[in-house]
Amino acid sequence: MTSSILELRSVKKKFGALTATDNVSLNIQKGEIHALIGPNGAGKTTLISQIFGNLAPDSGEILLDGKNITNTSVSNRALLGIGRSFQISNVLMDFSVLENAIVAKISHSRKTFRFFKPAFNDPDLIDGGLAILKRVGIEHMADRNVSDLAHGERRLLELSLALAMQPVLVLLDEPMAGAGPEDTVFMTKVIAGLKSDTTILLIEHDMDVVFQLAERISVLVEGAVIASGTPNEISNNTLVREAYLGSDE
Amino acid sequence: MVLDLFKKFTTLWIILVVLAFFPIFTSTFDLPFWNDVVMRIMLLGMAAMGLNIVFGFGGMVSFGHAAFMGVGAYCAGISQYYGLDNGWYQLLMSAVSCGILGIMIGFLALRTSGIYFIMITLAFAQMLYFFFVSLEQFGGDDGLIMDRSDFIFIDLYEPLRLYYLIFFILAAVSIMLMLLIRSRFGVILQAIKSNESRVEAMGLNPLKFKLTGYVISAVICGLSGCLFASWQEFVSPDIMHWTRSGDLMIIIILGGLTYVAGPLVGAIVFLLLEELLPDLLHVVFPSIAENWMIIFGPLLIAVVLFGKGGLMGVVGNRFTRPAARKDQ
Repeated sequence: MTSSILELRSVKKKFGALTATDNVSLNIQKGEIHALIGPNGAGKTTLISQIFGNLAPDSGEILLDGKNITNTSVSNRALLGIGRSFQISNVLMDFSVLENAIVAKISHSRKTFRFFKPAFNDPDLIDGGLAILKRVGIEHMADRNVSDLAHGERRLLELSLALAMQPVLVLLDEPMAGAGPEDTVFMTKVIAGLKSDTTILLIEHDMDVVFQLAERISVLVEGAVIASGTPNEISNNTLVREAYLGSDE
Repeated sequence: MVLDLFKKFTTLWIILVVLAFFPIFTSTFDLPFWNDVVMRIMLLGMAAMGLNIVFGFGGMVSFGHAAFMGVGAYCAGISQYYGLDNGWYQLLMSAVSCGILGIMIGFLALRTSGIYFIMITLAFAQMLYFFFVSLEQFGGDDGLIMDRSDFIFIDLYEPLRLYYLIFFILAAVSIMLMLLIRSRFGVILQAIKSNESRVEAMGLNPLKFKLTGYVISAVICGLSGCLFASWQEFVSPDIMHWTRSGDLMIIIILGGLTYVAGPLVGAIVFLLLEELLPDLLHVVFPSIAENWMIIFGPLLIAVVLFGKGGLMGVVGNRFTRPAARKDQ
């Protein structure tokens, strides 16, 4: 059939008695921005972690572009074209901004087992690193140390690292979490600008951002997808209203 | 690029130059005993530099690297026992054995991290220790007396030949490390120390890089052990006692674990103190000279506590930047 880039087939994950992912089936179309929303503890991050390979599902299948990746390691999934930003900033703290991008560029070049030539002053790697930063418009911070960056700037760096491998699918786990209003506006613009070359699965609590960006939304409650559809369909869905606002009865 | 290496690693080059000319000093003042002390410093410094690849740059606290020194030493001892006394062959043998052993131990141990990694590396080292204790044929607990190996062209019984053999191998290891730490591989290793899950998310399999680093460090410790046997003219399980693994770690922390030269600086200070402190105390407080460790211990603790980044950090720049970048 399809132009779906990511397909989940009845994915299940239990932590003891807690069902974190309950039989989730999901289709993400190529080129769309798909938002995953749900109350706290609904299992959104757990689901993303299974898509990226940090967690293994108990059962079910995960397909990337028709290829079964259920048992593929994180690093291999990254090479196959999945990028991820984490809920809590996950960058190389001891390095400078450009050095972070250079490590990503080394991986992208696939030439990793080189033992002699210095990496940080290799012009190819510097150019590649700067290009990675330019993608989200942070090349002006290149020489700063990550430990000196403000929170919002770190989120942007992390976004650039998630995009560094030129992924076909990017998983963004609350990219705006903790960022100020200005950063949020900037980040929203950046993410909207990525639409033309990649597919995005976005977890976000800020509903303004979600409705601005997303073409389709899936709602996760207690580990199960209770609704999936366009923003319009979702905002009129009674089940979703109940989950978010509590039922009237 | 060569010039760059001189500029970036000033301390290490200064130490190497001093070591190269040290015998002139000892022969002028007729102090041959000090050549012996400095050879020991170079050997333990080399082993500590090897360990520091995983410990300081890769962030893996291995508590069993003395075992690789021991295996290197026994490669020399056992080869000689069977009449194979060519030193080059013994060095090769040590490198290959430690490489293979490093792959095996690393492959299992690197699946764990933190405290579990410390314990499992210690456990493997203890297994090897008792393995060599149990080899009655090669002296067991009492060890194996041996001659200095035969390095063709280089007769180690000529004064200073052993000194310069050790020196040149130390220099080669140093240059290799200066290159390695700034290379793509070195950068990735330091990135793994900084944040393993980000490195993984970038499409790099951390285990591959950690294992490679582990094997390189095992091989360097093996070379050091092999030469140690010739220096000592004796091999026993003592060389791989767990306290030596501890000494190597203390040497690294003392010198500064994010610097290539750190372990060498640490070895110089650690072993000189060990040598001089008893004599010094004998003059000042003869009553406690026997117990010089009472002073030695607190001194080490002070450096570790107050000199974050070790002695190199106190002298040079204090920041914990990746060694791949900073001048040191």
